[in-house]
Amino acid sequence: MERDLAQTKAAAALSFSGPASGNPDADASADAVRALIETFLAGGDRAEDAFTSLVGLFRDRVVSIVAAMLGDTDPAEDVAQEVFLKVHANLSQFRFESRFDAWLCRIATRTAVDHTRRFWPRRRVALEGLPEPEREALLDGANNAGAAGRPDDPESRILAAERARMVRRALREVPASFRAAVVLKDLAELSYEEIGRALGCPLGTVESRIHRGRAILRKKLERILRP
Amino acid sequence: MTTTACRMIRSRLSAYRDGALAPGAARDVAAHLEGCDGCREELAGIDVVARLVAGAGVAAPPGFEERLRARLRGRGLTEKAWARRGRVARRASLAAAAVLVAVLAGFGPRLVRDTRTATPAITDDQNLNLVLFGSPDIDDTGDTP
Repeated sequence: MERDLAQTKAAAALSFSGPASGNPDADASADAVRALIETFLAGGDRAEDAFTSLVGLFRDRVVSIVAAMLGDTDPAEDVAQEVFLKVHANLSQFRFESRFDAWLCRIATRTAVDHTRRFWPRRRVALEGLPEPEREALLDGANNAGAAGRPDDPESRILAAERARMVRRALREVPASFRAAVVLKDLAELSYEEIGRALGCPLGTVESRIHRGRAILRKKLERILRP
Repeated sequence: MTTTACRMIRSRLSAYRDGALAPGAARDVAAHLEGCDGCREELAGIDVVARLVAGAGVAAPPGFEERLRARLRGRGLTEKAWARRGRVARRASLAAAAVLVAVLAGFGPRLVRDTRTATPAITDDQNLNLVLFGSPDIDDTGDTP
């Protein structure tokens, strides 16, 4: 399929919802992602550019998932690259029977879990005794979570980054199965059905894991907010 | 006061918040919430946590794609290999090379083998966890081995 890569990339940047969603923008983006995959699989001179465009579309999402699963941004890039290496090696097996981003998120989550099993020492992150500025940043986020905010304000950006770091640290104390469910729901924005497929468990288990994961995370965060 | 009804409702608040309940179940939860301050507070707490996680994303560092390309090249995918990467072309060249080697070596067709099978295939419906990680699921025992 011949298609201008810049156009497909711009279209795909709109959103990552699956095909036949009824949303014209979402359907266009799904088509654009499919076009990139097909260009890559067709081989030839444009294959590398197509794969790079695909990576460009999803890199932040993959790095975010991995960082949330690891509780740390330091190794996140390396693990995120492992994710894309696996995608590169297996993309020809993707049959478009599910959303590409859901497939990608499954790989990202499992790669992160695999990484923690191999490399995490038996240690617990100390959440107590955080410096007051960090605690205030998180408290501010808890009180204003989801508020529009002022994204261009440097102070807001710093606070948001600090808040995100605290949340990732707290996530690290949540057991892996619950953490994966919460991250796939709240960060990756997958449906319960997609999470069930990603984690290999039925819908009832997905619901339970998300709920218990959020409850555990809430307690961890409250330990920070009310030491 | 937390009642048995509250405990049942609270176990479903995340799914209610996510719009993942069946219509009848969602109506039951909504009806309970109307008259229960405690469960409304619980729902608000869940909502805050979900939003905090949603805001915990991080951007990939600059140069991410370039470093990935370098790693791909390091695995043998040179620019020339990229250009030859078409599935049909690769299959044909592998088959031709295998046949040629087998014929020249006199070992017959038993050496003809599609080397692509060396990479585990991940289909949409296949249990990706087993293929990639050798375990069917993320267990509940935590992260440490």
